[in-house]
Amino acid sequence: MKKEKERKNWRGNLVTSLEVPGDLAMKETIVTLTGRSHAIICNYKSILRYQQEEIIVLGFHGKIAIRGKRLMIPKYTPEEMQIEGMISEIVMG
Amino acid sequence: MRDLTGFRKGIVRIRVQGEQTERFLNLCKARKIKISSLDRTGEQSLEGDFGIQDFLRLSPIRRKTGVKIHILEKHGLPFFFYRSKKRKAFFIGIFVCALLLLGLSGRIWEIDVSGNARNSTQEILDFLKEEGIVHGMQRSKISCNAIAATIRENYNDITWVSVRIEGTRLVLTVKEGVFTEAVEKEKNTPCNLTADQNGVIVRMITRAGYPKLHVGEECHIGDVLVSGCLELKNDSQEVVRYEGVHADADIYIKRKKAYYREIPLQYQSEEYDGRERKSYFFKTGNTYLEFGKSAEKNWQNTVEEQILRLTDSFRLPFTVGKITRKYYETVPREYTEKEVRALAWRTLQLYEEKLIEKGVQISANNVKIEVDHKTCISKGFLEIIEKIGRETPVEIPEQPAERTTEDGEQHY
Repeated sequence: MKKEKERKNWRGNLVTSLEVPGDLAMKETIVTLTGRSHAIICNYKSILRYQQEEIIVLGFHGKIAIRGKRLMIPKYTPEEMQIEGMISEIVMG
Repeated sequence: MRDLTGFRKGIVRIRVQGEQTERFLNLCKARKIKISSLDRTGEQSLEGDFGIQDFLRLSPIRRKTGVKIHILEKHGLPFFFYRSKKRKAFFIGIFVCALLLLGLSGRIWEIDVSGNARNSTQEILDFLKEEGIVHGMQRSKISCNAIAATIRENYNDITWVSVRIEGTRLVLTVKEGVFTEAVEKEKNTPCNLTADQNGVIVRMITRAGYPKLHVGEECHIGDVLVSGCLELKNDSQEVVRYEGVHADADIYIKRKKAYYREIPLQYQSEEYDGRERKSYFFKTGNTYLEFGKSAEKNWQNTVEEQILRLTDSFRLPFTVGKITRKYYETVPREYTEKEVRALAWRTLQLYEEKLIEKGVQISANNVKIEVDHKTCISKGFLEIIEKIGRETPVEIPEQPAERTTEDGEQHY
């Protein structure tokens, strides 16, 4: 446990010192929300569930659930996914 | 994906039905297949737009996930061409149109001259025509440098020429110089100022030369107002030398200008009854095609013309236009005395305005408007103050002989 924590710290320190963007180096998922109707998810792994009321996306460090009404995906590419609809909730798990 | 690229490459809208629709999406992602307008339409069905190339790669994914794929819609040029493969005339039309555009874009359809004031555009165009530069000639045969050099050579007052080709336009920009040398030379030539009108001098400012007439004196056409021949005299008032100068003065005279206008009381009025016809025409080179009824008597024509262009600089050699014809009837009418007096007064005012524009002052107006049973006659005279003086050559008399005294000294 301690070893793993140390390793994470070491990687974090390296990223900071090299001034590399965190989302690229740590493979963090980015969720950009514009208003209540538009969201863009970058750096995701796969879709776990896609329904009109809920989209669950698997990131590299956990799940992201977007809930709402009439959710649809206008753009689905390996790099990013656009979501449109009445978004009511975003849950990071 | 329904943008221009999608339209060009073609897109397919499909329905994916099965239990593993999410896995289908993940496999698409793994194979870098792009999907747009993805929508969940049922518990186990999805709809989305795929590019043609991506759609053809779906087969292994379908096998793996066990979903069913239905094509719902096909859009884009590849499908359109496939559907239209039997319409040969359509493709021939496209080909001919492309050829035509290609052919037309290689020629000059507009010659634009700017920056010229002394040399008219038509004059320069005529000169270019003589040199073989005409509308419709091939762009590749035009040498901008050669045209610029020819214009500079033939027009001495053009100091700078720029010639460039913009699309199907040949743009000539010129700058005309002022040759002060010539003007100065002209100013140095001795001359008199001679009256070109009869009248009484009211104001006179002489800058160079010897005034022969003065303010208050009457002058007649041909009278020398300011002489360009100066007599240099010695102390005993004897002329010792004649010197020619370029006479320069502002001379204003007052004179009477006769005015006579006759307006007949009966006139023909054009009255429109509201009938209107529209026709359209097409013009290319010397060919003129008109659609609609042609010109007839008692129809007034208004023509609107439009030159066809693909872009601002790509002018096509076609002109389309609209002709609006309005029907009128010529009805004999008669002015009332009040109307004709107003018209005569307006005509006189317009005439006065024109005189004032020319720099003439009007000091008195003695025009009377009389109306009889047939005509309205405005007659009389206007008293005007105007600038006169025409440059005429001066005759310098023979220089007087130098007188020498007995002791050999020269006296002037």
